[in-house]
Amino acid sequence: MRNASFVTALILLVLTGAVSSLLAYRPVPVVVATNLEKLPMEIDGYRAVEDYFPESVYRELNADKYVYRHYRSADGRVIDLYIGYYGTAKGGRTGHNPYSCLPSAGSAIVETGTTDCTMSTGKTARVNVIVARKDELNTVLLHWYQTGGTTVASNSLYQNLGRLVSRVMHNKDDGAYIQISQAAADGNVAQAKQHVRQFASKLLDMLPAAWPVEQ
Amino acid sequence: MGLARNDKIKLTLLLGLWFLVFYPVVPEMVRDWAGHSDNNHGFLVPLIALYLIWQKKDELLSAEMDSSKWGAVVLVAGLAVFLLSFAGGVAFPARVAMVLSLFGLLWFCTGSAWGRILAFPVLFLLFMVPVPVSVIGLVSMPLQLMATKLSAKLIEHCSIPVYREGNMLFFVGTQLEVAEACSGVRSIMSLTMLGTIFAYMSQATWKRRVVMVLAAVPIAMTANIIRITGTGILAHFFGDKVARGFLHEFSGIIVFVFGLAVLGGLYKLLNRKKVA
Repeated sequence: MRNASFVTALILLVLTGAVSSLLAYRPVPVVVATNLEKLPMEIDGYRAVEDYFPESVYRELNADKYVYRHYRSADGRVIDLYIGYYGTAKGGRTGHNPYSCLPSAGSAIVETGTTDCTMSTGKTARVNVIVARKDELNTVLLHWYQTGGTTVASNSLYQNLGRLVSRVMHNKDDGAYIQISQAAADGNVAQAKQHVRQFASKLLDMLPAAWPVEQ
Repeated sequence: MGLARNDKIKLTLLLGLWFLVFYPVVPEMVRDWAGHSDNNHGFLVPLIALYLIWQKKDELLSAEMDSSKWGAVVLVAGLAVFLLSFAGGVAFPARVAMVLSLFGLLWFCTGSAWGRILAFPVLFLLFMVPVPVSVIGLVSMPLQLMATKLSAKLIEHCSIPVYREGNMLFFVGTQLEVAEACSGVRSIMSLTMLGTIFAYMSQATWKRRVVMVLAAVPIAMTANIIRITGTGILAHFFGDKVARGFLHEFSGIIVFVFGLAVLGGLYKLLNRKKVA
């Protein structure tokens, strides 16, 4: 083996080891204000009731903060909202996704796709749509991943890219999984899609202000 | 001709240092191998790679040891990707970089002749890197749905009434959920790994070797559909207990052995035709 290549390789490895050791000592930010509880209890004419998961579900979700609410309109329509927030220390993401969790819960996924939600700023965010069916009742579900309060990703691959950039640049990669759903009878699926999309647009406007703070 | 003592020490030192540098990604990767059945084959990969290198021992010792600048490029790229993904807290690229930098290191320090011989055994280590959950999530759902649809059709052809809704199969007396674990991703990954070994061992042309690797995907998917169909038929007659516990695990092994046998048959076929 040539001495030059041996020494060069040795130096490269030692340097990499030194830099990675320094990186390992970077402090991990902690959540100092969860804030999500400050999301308005009234959104787009729907009034919310807080709900809580059983302890076993709460442990399984392992979120730093979760919001689970049922928003009801004056004419009785109910939109369920779930937000699970994961700080940088918890990797900024959930291991669960509705594509596997819904069938596990006995629902059949009958339609999947994406839709664009337009915010008041005129910006659009692409989110996922799922229509699931259980006991002859449909559930229209929108979900997306949000990083750093403002970055919306429709799939976890994009979310991971966003996390990488955010962690390298700001040493932070906190994120949330957001899910909005409404039950719909067979003839009302299209209408339910419209309702949840409209609700999602309003929520997307409000989330940056209610985003948790890490330090 | 043996390896000079000096070279042995240098190689040992470099490999030891390489392992130390990448050690931070190892414990979590091993936990992933143990924690998810999709990744269990990860334990075997380093052993297979070591065996493949051992097999090439004589060839390596008779090859000239030199240096390669392209190896240096791969090494530097691997280390840079590792640092970036380590800083970004993303495991998958760091794990890939671990394997690439090992190959780059060996190529750089031992030259092109050694690099050519070591390329397959070392890059085979890429199979130990668990596929990210986000990627599995993208492919498993369509695979799951397709497997359920085709299985429902096959069950109907056996004159068994079945109604499919999403990934659920409803029978007269019972129902089955084709879960994410039944998407066939696990079989695809393990059979592709075996197909790659077959292709490496084969004396066939490159085209045929590529066919051998690619064939692992439809073989695994077919085996999975046969498993779901068989489970559905048995569930119709004996209830959903056939889809749980020992019977479910056993059917998984049987179907994997079937896939392996088909792959082995293809290996023999492609090699035999070459000789003829």
